[in-house]
Amino acid sequence: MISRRYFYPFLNLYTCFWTVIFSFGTVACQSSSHEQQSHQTTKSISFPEQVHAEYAKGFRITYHKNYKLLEVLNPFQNQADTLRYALIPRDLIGNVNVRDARPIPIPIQSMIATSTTHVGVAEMLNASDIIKGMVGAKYVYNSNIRQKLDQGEIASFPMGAFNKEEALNMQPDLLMISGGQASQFDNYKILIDAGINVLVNSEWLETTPLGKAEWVKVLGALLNREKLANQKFSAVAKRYKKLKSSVNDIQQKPLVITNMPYKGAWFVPGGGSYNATILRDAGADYPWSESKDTGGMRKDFEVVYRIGLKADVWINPGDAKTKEDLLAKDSRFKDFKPFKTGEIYNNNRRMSPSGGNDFWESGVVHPERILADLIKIFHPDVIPDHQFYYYRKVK
Amino acid sequence: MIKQTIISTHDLEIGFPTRGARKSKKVVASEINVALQKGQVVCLLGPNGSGKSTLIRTLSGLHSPLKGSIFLSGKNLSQFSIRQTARKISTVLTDRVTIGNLSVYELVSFGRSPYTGWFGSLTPKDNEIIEWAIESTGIKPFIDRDVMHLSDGERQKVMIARALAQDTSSILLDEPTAHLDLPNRVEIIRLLRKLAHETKKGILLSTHELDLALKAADNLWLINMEGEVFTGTPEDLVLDGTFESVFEQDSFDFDRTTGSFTLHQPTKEIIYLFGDEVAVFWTRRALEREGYRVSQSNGTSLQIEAVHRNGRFEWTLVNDHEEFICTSVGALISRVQKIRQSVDMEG
Amino acid sequence: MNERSQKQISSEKKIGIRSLYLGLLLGGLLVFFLLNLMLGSVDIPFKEIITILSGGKTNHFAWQKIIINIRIPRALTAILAGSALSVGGLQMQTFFRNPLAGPSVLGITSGASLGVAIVMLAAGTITSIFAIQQLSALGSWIIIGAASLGSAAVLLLILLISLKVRDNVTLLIIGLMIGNITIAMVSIWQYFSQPEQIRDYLIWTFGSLGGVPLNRLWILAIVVLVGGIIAIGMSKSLNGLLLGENYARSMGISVSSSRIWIIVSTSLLAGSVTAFCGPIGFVGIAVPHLTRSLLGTNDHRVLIPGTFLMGAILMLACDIVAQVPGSSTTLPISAITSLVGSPVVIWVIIKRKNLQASFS
Repeated sequence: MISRRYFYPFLNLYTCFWTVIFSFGTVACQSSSHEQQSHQTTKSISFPEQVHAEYAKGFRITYHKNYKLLEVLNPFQNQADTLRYALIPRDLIGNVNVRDARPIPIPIQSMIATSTTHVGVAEMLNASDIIKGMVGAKYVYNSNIRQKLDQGEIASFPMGAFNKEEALNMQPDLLMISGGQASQFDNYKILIDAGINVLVNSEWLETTPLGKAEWVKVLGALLNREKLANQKFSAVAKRYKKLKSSVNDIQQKPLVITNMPYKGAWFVPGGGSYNATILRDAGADYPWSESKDTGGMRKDFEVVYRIGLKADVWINPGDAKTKEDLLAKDSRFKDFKPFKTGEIYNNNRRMSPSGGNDFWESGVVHPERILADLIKIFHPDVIPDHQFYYYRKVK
Repeated sequence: MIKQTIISTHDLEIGFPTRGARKSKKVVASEINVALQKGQVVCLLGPNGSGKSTLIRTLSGLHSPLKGSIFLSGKNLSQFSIRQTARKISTVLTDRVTIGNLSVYELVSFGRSPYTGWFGSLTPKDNEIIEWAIESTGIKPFIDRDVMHLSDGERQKVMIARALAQDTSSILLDEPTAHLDLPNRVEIIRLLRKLAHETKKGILLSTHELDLALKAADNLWLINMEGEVFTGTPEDLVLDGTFESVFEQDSFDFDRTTGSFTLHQPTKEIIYLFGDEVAVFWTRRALEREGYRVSQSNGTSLQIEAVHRNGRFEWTLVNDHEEFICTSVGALISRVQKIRQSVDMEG
Repeated sequence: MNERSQKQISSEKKIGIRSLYLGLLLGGLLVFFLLNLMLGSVDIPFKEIITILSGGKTNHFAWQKIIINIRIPRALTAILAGSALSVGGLQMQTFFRNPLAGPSVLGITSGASLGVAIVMLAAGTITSIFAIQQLSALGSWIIIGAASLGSAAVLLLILLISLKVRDNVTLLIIGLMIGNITIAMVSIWQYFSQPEQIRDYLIWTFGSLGGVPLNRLWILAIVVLVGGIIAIGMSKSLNGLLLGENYARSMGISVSSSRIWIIVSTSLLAGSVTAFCGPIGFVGIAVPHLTRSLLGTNDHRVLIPGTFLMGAILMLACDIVAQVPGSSTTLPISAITSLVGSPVVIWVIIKRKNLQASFS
C-alpha cells in the first residue's frame, strides 16, 4: 500500500516544509544586518564638562574627540566583561566609529525606564520628561510621572515578560535596565539586535551609598548635563561625608536588626552590602558587619530572634505600618526589645496611593537623606533639628 | 534428507540464565535434539508449564539458549543477523496486539519488514506477496477494517497472514488456537496443513488441543515436566506409551483405543454392545458415562443392539429373558438403570 | 481480477487522501504563520506585512523592525518548538505504548530545568555576574548552555539505564522518578534563594517563544532537524514496535538499537526546545492524538510528518492566543498550551470510545 509512488510526494512535502522555514530565516537575517560606515569627520567636538566615577565601581567614563566612552564594568570579576557604549553627538552619529562600542546618539530625548530608580535619577537632573515608557507603573511615586501615566502620555509596560513590540514601535533613544532579571535578558538581547540602545544601569551592584548615587553622572553624560550632575552629586557627597564624620567617633553604637522573616527564614544584608554600609556609616552596630557578603544572607529565624530580643532598634520591618501589623505577622515579635521600647522605624513615610515608595525612587540618589534619617534614629542628639524624610516610627 | 531440514537443534538447553533475583539458572528443558522438515506440520505438546513457549521463543531467536546450538538451513542461528533470521523464521505469538488505528492490510504488510528498505516502502512484488497471504488466509472480506474491531478468530488469521507475508521457510506458532471456538480452531489447523502441503513451509505449533494435534500433526514433539523432549509420528508415540507417560496424571488415563482421555471410572457391570458403527460409538459414550463398561464380545447378561433404520436409530436391549426397544439413548439409559435397580432389589 | 483492481483502487484512494491531508496541513501551517505575523501588541496592516516580507521598501521603520526582529523569529520558534515537542511525544507514546506519554517522561526537560535553576537561583550575586555577561558580546549562552548540559546529563543517565533494563515499563518509571528527583533538587535550590531570584526563575518556567533571536535560531533549527531526521529514519522500527517488542524482533527490527535512536531523537527534540524556550508542556501529548485522529492511521511514515505539521500549527495558534492581540500584556505560552490543548484531547477521547486501543 505504501509504495514508492507515495514516498516521493511525501518527501517533497517535507522538503517544502523546511525550505519554507529556512527561506524566511535567510530573508529576515539579511534584512537585519547593520551597516557600518566609517567616514572621515570634518567637524570636531570636545566636551568641556566631564564626569568621572570616584566612588562607583560599576562604570567608567572617558572623554575623547567627538565621543564619550561609557563602560559598564562588572565589579566582581577581574577581567572585564564590560559593556561599552559610545556616546556620540547626534549630528555626528554615523560618522564616528568606535571599535567594540555601541553607539548612542546624545543627548537622549526619549527613554523607557524599567525601575523606579531610573525615575529618581532622571528627576534629579530635571529630566523626567524624557521618560516615555515605564515598567511597573504602579510603583512610581513621582506625581508628575504618575499623572502622565494615567493620561497615557507615558506608556505603561507590563511587568514580567517585556513587551518588545511596544518598545520597538516607540523607537526610544534608550532603554534603561537594571536588577537581576536574568529571565528577561533574552528579550533585551533581541531588542539590541533590533537596534534599540539598551543600557545596563548596574547601580544595584554598588556596595557603597555614594557609589550608587554616583550613577546619576551616567545619565548626566547621556543628557549632556554633566555640569548639573556634578553639582548635584557634589552636594550630596559633601553632606553625606559631613554627616558620617559627625557620628564617626561615637563609641556607643545601638544594636540594630533589619527586615522581616518569611516562612522560617530571615534574609539579612551581608556585611559588604549597601545596607550594612549605610548602617555602619550611621553609627549603628550591625550584627553581621563582619561578613564579606555583598548580597543577602539567609539566616534561621532563631538566630535573628535571639538578637532581636536585645536589639536597640529595628528598622525596615517589611511593609509594616503599625505594631498591629507586626503582631499579625508573628506574635513572637512582642518579645523584641525594640517592640517594647517602641524603637521600630520603617522607610515607608513617602508612599503613593498605589503602593509606590519614594525610598526606592529618590532615595538611591539621595543617600544623605537616608543617612540623616538613620542618624536621627540612632543618635538623635547629633541632628536634633532634622525632620524624618523617608523614615517613620512604627507605632 | 538433510536438505529437507529447516531448523534443527543439537543438545539444546533452554531456560532462564542467572539474573537479578535468580541465583542460579533455571533449566526448562535440556538435551533437545529435534528437527523441523519442509512441508511438515509439527505439534509441540506438553503439560502446562513444561516449557512449550520457551522452546518456541528460543527457536525463533527471541530467547537465548542456555547451551547447545540451533541450526538454520545448516548454519548456526547465532551467526545470523536479526534481519536474516526474520527472512527464514516468522512467528505468531500469544502476545496481545492491542493497537488500533491500523487497517488489516497495513498490519499484514508489516510482515514484509525484513525485505523492505529503511523507510519500509513496498515494491509491486511485496504487494503481490501480501495479496497472496491475504487470499490464503481468507481475510479479504475485512481487509480495510481497523484491527481493533476484529474478533479473536479474525485477528489470529490476520497475524498468520502477516507471518505468511514474511515469506519464510518456517513458521512457528505459540498456541495459535487458544481462545478460539471450535470451528475457528479447525479452520486454523486446516489452513496450516494446507500451507505446509502447498508451500512446503515447515510449521511448528504448540497447542493444548490433544485431539487436534494427534489428527493434524505429521510429527509430534512431546515435552514433559522433567524437561525431556521426545519426537516421532503421533501414532508411534501413542503406541509405544510415550504419549501416556508425558501426560500421566493421577486421576485419568489415556485410552489408546479411542485416542482420548478416559474421564470416567467404570463402576458397574459389562454390557455387550454391537450394531451400527455410528450408533455404537455414541451409545458407548453414554454407557461409559453412567459407569458401565462396554465389551465387544458376547457373554454378558445385558446386551444391546443398535440399529439404523429408516433414517432413525433404534436400540434393542436384551436382559436374560426380557427384551426392550428404545428409540433414544436417553430412554435406553433409563431402561438400563431400571433393570439394575430391580436386580439390586432382588438380590 | 475484479477484486484485485478493487483493492488497488482503495489503497490508491488512501494514498490520495493522506497526501491531501498532508497538503492541507502544510497549507494550514502557512495560514497560521501569516496569522501569527499579523497579530500582536502593535497593529500592523496586512499590506505592510506583505511588503516587508517580500523585501520591499517601507516607510514604517519601526514596523519593519517589529516584523523582522520580533514576529518572524517568534513564529519560526513556534514552528520548531511545536513540531519538535510533538514528534518527541509521538515517539514516546509508541515506544512506551502509553497514550499519556509525552516528551518529558524521560526526565529530559526536568534536567534542563535543573541546569537553569543552578544558574539562576545560585545564592548571592552570582546571578548578577551572569546577568551582565548575558548582554555582552561573548556571554549570552549561559542559560541555554546550562539547560543543554542538564538535559544531556539526564540523557546519558537514561541511556545507561536503558542498557541494563530490558523492560520498557521499568524504564518509563525510572525516567519519571529521575524527573521528580530533579524537580525536588530545584525546590531545594529555590528554598535557599532570594524572592527576586525565585520570581525570575518562575518566569523562565512559564516558557517563552519570543526570546530566541535569529542568530541563535539556526542552532535550534539544526538540532530539531537532526532529531526529526532520526525520527523519520525510525518510522519502520516504530511501526514494528506497535505490535510489541517480540513481534518487532521477529520481523527483523533490532529493538535494542531502535531504543537508543528513539531516546536520542526525543532528547534532541525535547531538550533543545526546553533549553531555548523553557518548559512548554502538553503539546507533546496532545498533538499525536490529534494527528492520528485526522489521518486515521498509526503508520509512522505518514504520522511523523503529519505530527510535525500539526504540532507547528497548534503552537502557532497557541502563540497567537498568548499574544492577546490588541493589548500589551502577554500570557505565558505554557499555560496557553495546556488551556487550549486539554479540551481538544478530551474531545478526541470522547469521539473515540476506546482510548487504550485507539492511540497506538
